[in-house]
Amino acid sequence: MYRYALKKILLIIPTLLIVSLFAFTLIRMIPGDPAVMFVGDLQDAAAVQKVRRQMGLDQPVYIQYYRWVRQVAGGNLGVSLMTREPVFNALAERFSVTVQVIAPAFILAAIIAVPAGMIAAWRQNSRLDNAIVLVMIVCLSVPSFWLALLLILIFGVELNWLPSIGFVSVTEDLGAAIRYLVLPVIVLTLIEMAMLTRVMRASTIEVLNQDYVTHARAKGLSESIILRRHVFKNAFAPTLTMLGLALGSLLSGTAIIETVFAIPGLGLYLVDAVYARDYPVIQGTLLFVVAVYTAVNLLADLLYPVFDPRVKLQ
Amino acid sequence: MAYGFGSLLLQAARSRRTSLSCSIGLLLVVSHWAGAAPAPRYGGEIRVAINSDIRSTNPGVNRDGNTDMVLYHIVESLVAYREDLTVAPMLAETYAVSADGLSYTFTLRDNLRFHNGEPVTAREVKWSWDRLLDPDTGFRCLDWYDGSGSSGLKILEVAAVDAGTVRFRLNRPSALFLQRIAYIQCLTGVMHPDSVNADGSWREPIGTGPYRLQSWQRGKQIVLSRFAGYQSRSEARDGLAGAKIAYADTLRFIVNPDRIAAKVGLYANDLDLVFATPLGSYREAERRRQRRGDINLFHQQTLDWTVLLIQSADALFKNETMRRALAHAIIPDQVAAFASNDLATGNASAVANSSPFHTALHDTWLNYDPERARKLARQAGYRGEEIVIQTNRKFSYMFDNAIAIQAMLHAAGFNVRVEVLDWASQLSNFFSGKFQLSSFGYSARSHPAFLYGNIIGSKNSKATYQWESVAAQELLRQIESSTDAGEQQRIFDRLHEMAKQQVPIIGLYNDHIVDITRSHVRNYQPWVFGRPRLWGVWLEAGHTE
Repeated sequence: MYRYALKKILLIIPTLLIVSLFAFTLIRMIPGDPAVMFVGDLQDAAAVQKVRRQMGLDQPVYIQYYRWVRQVAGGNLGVSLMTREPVFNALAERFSVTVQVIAPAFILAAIIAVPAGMIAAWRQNSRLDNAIVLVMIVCLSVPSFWLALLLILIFGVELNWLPSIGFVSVTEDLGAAIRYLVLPVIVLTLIEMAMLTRVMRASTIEVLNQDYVTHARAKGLSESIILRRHVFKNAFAPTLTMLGLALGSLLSGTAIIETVFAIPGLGLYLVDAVYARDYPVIQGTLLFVVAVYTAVNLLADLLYPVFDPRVKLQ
Repeated sequence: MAYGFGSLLLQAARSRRTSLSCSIGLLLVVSHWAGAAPAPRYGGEIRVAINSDIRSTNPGVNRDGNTDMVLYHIVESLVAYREDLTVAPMLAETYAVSADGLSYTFTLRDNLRFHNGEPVTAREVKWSWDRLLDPDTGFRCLDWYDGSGSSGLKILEVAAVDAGTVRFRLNRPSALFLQRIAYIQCLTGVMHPDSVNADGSWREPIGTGPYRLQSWQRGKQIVLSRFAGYQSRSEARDGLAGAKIAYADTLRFIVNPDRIAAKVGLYANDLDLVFATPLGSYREAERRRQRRGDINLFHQQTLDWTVLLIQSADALFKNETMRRALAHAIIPDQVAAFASNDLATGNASAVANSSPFHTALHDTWLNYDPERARKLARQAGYRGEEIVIQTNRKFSYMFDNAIAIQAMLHAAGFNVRVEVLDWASQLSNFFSGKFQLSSFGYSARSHPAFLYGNIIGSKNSKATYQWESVAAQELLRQIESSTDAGEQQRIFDRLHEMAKQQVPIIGLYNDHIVDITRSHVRNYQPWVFGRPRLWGVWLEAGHTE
């Protein structure tokens, strides 16, 4: 297992190199010029040329790439073209914000989805199953921004129970942080929960149809024991992989929620950078997200045999 | 000669104030002015939504509209714009222009203090300007003052004559020098030298404004606190000039990228002001105001000018007849009504509706005549080729304009396709001239000469120029050396007449904004620059945040 883990960790390096190349070239293939965005409404073409030189954008692309990779290898992700802020510092700050939103949502989604999926599968085609499936389909179908605005209207505007926008870090004021986090966490939980429940339900149904489950029933084991001992472990393994993927997508996929709730997180940072063609920020953020994504999935891979002993890590 | 050269311009422009006041009056009938609160009150916090974070705290260097808006609460210039777009002394008590127009002498007001408590003297004014004029600073409008710009204007020297007097020496007279100093997009704030570190790198703005920078959490919020040592002018609040009384203890600018979410946040009483909300939300907000009375709604015409750019280097549109054909097929008033929910009216002239230079002549344009448009297009050799209008969805009015124009051009027999790009791509195309037609907008220019300066010129020097007429370029040069506002008026009139003939661009309307405040926000007043000023604004007693 250790050799497997080491091999996987080493594989992260070429993965990141490939990602760096893609991130670097793809964003430059999109029309748009950071210098133009920087100069903005002054609409001064001479200033644009000057800014391009200052930003190093007048250099050949391969030189720009070489400089950037060398910089990154030295632990420096560069500085934002728009704000001149070091990208690494900004990423650390934004990541800490995003984690505070997605961690509770992720945990809550998992806590709800796993039993909900199992129960739905256990009672397949019953009214309970239909109800759970219906709720999950609705949660999956409703656009997140609409759900967010709806919750703001109900709990923020009409009932005035919770703040509608903004963010307070848990390190600043825990009580206030929780109040600000409730609505965005609910929205993210509902969306992630729906997807995970469907995966858990499908894998549970598959396991329930296995011979060893029929055997366990024939032995006279209670349904509770069958579900806990024999079904859960085997059904959870695919869901674990899904959890890894979900966490990764949450990292960069919360831009809409962050926009609606005015949360200064990683997703919003990336989206703003794309609109502004802030190359170092886009490249740095993508690299960072991929690194975290890879690490999370590696962890999921390593945990897989714990739930499904048939899988050997070699 | 005190007030010699500049005062002539000021007096002439002021004479047009009556008509401008009428326009503003009309606006206030449409909007719901909630400024009649009798008793100003100190204290509290005004929470304002801004749709993107500020770029920096370095005025005029790394900037955008939000950055300018936050920073003009912190720093002040020698002169500033009045509501009617004339220039008034701000940090200066008076100014005098030499008879030859080459020397401007500013006498500073007494007892002015920086946010760090230090007195404001000519030394700091000179330091601030020397810093701006240093190419290493990166001042965005350096070419306005270093002789490299189209005007050729250069500040030869900024001299501290004595502790309270500063003199600027120019290489040539300029009718627009004071306008440039007051220009919002190129803030020339006077700051204390401690605003920079020992190595000259930027630290934070130590200005003279009614508010000082308290904190900036990137991506989240900027907090300004009242400057207790601020010495307000005695005149009434007037644009960025006049009295600036900071009633609120703090101003909190909260980054909220989505205007609709921000509006909902205002309804929830988590914000006090959302400015420039989408025009489509006006009627809904008005219904809420009538039903609940917990918000105030303001509707203001701005200096932003929305246009249809025509690429005169394009094979089809290099022909003046073809451009005239387009103009006969488009009704600016209807595009304005469609895109602004009936709030705006058309303006085909680069001279803004609210400019003192906008006269009845500037309301005239080529009449709507689709038959004539067809005939002219045929004459120009148009045979139904596809015409592409570039637009974007970031600025919804540009998209709406494009849709309306497409429909009008279709009705006149043109084959038009709308190409929706993201804003960065469209802006890059604008800078490189890669478009046929482009639904575009010019942000607020305080003086028509600055807008014409962006439009008139040779495409060989800048692809962003839309009008290559040599005669127009000569007229633009004449504005710089004009001696009175009457002469400037004649030039602007002539330029508009020429534009009607040559149609280098099709002006549509001056953009409108809708600002919404909570009802407890008193004495708020939007203005033609479209961004809030929060001095002179107070919070009613008894409201809860």
